[in-house]
Amino acid sequence: MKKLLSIILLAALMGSMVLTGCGKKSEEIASTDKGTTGTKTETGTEDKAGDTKAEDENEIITITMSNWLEAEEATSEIFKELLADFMAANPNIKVESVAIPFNQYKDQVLIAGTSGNAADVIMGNSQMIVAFYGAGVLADLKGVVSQEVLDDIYPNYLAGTTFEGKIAAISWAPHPLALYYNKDLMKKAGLDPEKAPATWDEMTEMAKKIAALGKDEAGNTIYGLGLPTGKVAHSGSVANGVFYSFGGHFLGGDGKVDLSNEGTVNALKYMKQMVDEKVMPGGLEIKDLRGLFATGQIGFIIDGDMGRNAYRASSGKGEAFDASMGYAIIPTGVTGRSETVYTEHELAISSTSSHPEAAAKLIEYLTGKDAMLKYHKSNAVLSGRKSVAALPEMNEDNFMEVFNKQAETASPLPATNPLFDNAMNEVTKAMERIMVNNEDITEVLEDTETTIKNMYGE
Amino acid sequence: MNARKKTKINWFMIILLAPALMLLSITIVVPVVTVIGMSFMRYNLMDINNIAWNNFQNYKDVLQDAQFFATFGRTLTYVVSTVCIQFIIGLTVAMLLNTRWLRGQKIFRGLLFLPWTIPSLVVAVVWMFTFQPQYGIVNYLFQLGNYSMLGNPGTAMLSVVISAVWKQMPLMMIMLLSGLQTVPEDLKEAASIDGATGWQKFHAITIPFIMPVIKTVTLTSIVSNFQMFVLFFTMTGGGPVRVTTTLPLYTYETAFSGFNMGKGAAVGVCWLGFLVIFSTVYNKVLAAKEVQY
Repeated sequence: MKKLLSIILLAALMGSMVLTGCGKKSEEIASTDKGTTGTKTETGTEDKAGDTKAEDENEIITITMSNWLEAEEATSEIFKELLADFMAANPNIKVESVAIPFNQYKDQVLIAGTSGNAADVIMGNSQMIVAFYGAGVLADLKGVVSQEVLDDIYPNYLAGTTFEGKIAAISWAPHPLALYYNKDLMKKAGLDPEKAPATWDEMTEMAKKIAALGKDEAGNTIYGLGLPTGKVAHSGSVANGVFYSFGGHFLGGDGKVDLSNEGTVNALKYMKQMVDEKVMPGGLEIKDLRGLFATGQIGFIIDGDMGRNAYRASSGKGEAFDASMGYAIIPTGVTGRSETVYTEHELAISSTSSHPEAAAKLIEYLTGKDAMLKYHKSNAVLSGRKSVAALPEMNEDNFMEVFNKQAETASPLPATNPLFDNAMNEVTKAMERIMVNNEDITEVLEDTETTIKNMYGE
Repeated sequence: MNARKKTKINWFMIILLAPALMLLSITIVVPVVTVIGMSFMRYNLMDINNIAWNNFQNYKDVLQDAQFFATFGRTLTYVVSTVCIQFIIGLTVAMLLNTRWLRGQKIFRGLLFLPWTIPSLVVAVVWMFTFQPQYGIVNYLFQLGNYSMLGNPGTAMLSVVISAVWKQMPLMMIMLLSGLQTVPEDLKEAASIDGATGWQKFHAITIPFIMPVIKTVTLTSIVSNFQMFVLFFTMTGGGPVRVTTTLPLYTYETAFSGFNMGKGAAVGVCWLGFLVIFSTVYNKVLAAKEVQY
């Protein structure tokens, strides 16, 4: 009996393993097929065997687009509408949306991409696109997307998606970080609520005056300034803008990690001093800071354009909270320039796409005037294209004007390595060690630099 | 005749067992075998088409990584403190509910059991609000000002332990209560007649009698707390300064954020090995303390 049971158990095990094995094999075959049937054309675009006729005017071709917009309530409807408009304008192209929740997006696209099953058009953000590029999932867009469109992208945005001379993606909806300030707190501190600070020194003085207010009616501490310095990788990403303002950087001129530079040390010294003087809370992430700003406990905060809706919602006042908010470009620091960084939604084409021309058409449409005006009206997004960003409809109020102006000087995140997110996580941990644990700045930066260099394989 | 009958019964048993065995092998054995296999491979999400044997490099990397040992230590601190605290509170409450003089036992039992029915994610969010520096009730009650319990390295782990104990204690309490209800009253009465004190009865009768229950609930709790991911991921994300980065978070970071599935799998296998050895020793040690009446 025992023998029989053992045999059955073994058979069951082997059966399930064979099933798993079969699955893998078929994936491998699919991947190999995709990888070997394509040939390079003179223009550098991927042209599949037997595909030339597929793009005949009368034949309907189907392309896929991976995204998280359809999986989110705020963007699902507008995204579907944009795809429907595109299909109406291009009756021979059918677009199938591959909606993946944001939290699983990077891993899912990487797995699909590296096994040869990526969607034709791939949406991503700055941190994701560098990882997709590093995994060889993305096609070079030079010669695929029209030169007219490429020339229309802000040079700083195009630089952020160009790796090793190859254009991995193009900017769709950029989110530069700018300055928000609380007009009510400015008034209470005896400052002019209509006059935003022009330099970091001015902002520091103003922030100190606001912090000197002490506590609000409910006994909550009032801070002058809110910079994210803890918890999540996003805090590390935002810190790059502060580093630039103080003449520092994350990557040196040679493109290698260089954290222990004077400017970065000065930026962190400044932040630590603000925390020690209780002008700024330490170790918080943007989510925490948004709550404090929306409830009148922070005077100045650096945030993206999506912050406005978050403040409206968190304050409980909705659009009425706009009367308490002021917007300005980031004050100038030692470089004499309004230094900041941006994150953005970007669009790319899979290196294994069977229909790169149709995919490029979709990208050109989505970043173009008609789609962007609709998207802007629905979700107040910015555009990475100069001709669209300059349209009056995209600059309908002071808020949009400020963010469009900020877009001109915003630098891309120094995301040149697929492990950039992890690196930013290490930068955040470094800031926590400095702000919360009171560790020595130079020592922490040297440790962190070594960790990131090992991670990057430098 | 008998032999033929026996064979028929065996086949019948096998047919009945086969679907369950098949299902178990697919859902448990295959993933475990796959993970063990992955741990010996160069398996990077960025280069998924080049999976190859890497000569134990993943294990070398894990065992040379100071972070792994620091993380393991933190995990042990969390598991030991959570299980000990919930065992002490659970046993105390179970004994109170097992007394004859307490009225409304069923109501108390029902109310005390409620936290266990709440999903861990909701528990995490509720306790994040409770520990919120500006509006949290903890800061209000203890007049902590803007002190962040979850944001301070000195109190972050303690805060997660408190929320874990709150969530898990009811199950421990119910299981121990069911054990306590099987302790024969006549034994305790006989001991009382012999002049035994309350402590002597508890120590010499109650504890040995409920030892099988203690063994099971503590071991289950130890294993499930070793796997605790949701509370840490939601409440602290492993911070501040890594003080709440435990093995599940470290594995997640290594495998998914760092794309290194091979090393992530090796961490998981080390962790699995530890738990298998620990469970075996733990069972043997506690089994020796069981008594048969």
